[in-house]
Amino acid sequence: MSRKVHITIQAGKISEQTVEIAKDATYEDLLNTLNINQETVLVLNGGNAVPLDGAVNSDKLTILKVVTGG
Amino acid sequence: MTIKCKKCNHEAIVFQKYSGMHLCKRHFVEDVERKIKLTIRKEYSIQKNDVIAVAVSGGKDSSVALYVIHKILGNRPDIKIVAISVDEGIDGYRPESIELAKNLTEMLGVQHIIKSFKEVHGVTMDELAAMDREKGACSYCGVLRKNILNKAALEIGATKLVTGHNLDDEAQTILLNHFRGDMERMVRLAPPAAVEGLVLRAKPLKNIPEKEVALYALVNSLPVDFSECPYAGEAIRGEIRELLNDFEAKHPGTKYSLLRGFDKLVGALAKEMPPAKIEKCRVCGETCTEDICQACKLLGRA
Repeated sequence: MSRKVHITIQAGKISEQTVEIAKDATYEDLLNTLNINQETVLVLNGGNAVPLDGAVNSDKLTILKVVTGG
Repeated sequence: MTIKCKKCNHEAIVFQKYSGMHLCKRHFVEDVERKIKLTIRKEYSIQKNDVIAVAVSGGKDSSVALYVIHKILGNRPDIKIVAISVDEGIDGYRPESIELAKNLTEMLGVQHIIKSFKEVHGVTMDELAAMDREKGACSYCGVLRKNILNKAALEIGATKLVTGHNLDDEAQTILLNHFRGDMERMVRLAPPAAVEGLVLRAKPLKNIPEKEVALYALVNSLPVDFSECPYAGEAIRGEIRELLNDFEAKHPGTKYSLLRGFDKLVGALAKEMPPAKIEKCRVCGETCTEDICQACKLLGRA
């Protein structure tokens, strides 16, 4: 079983996409699917940060890119 | 199903893979501040009547550094905290972040000094970047910014100059120095000794992972900017960052290990490599380790 999650990625500019993940996927699994290193982002659910080993329990998330060059 | 904080029953907002702990907002903030206080106590002992200059760009790291220094030391009547910003002249990037820095210093009621490349060095970073040049943009920017920060800190009689370098920055620099075999630079990364003409640098966030600095800024609603410098792409540091983050994700704790190993190594290394002789630049008079300082060399003043 898989399901769809709508993702907003904020990395200076904002992009959006929908990604399909396993029913019991964690945020970490989600980032791996998107090929995003977990050291470089915060995942926000309704504006609040979530622990990345937790199971995804929302169909709408924001990924905030916080590690940039410079 | 939500995950609970290791220390209380509240909902966790972060999982620290390297410590195995889930923490709620309150205990995460406590954990970050505890590490910062410990770093300050161990490495940058605060003295009575210290004047602490904090370099603030408006980015997350320096904003968190100022916020926490103010939180820890702001109520000490004998200690003065002053923020210093440097406008490098990077259009579309720095003016916006300096506005955020102003918001923060106004919010905290901290004196704020703003200097610019144009006024001090007579040239903006955008002009320098467009020139025919030998080195990457970051080399110019770093040298010229540090030169201004030190000058401004000296002018106000600062006894310490705080920067927002975090654990990732430090671990990257250690790895970079290894890759280049540059042990002179490695020794210079150690907590510095006082030298006349150079304000003592302090990095209170050196034990906080970059991601946690960002989370700390977020949960405290600090006015910060997460945008990237338009010149950042040139630096080899980006490659090291990626390599280190891949390694950290697979082997949590790698960044801390690099720092701990370096702390053990650097004492022995310093004995083998005595510090460079301190001189005054014969062009501008700044304290440096050569006949002519890096800033004058880069600006072709020699």
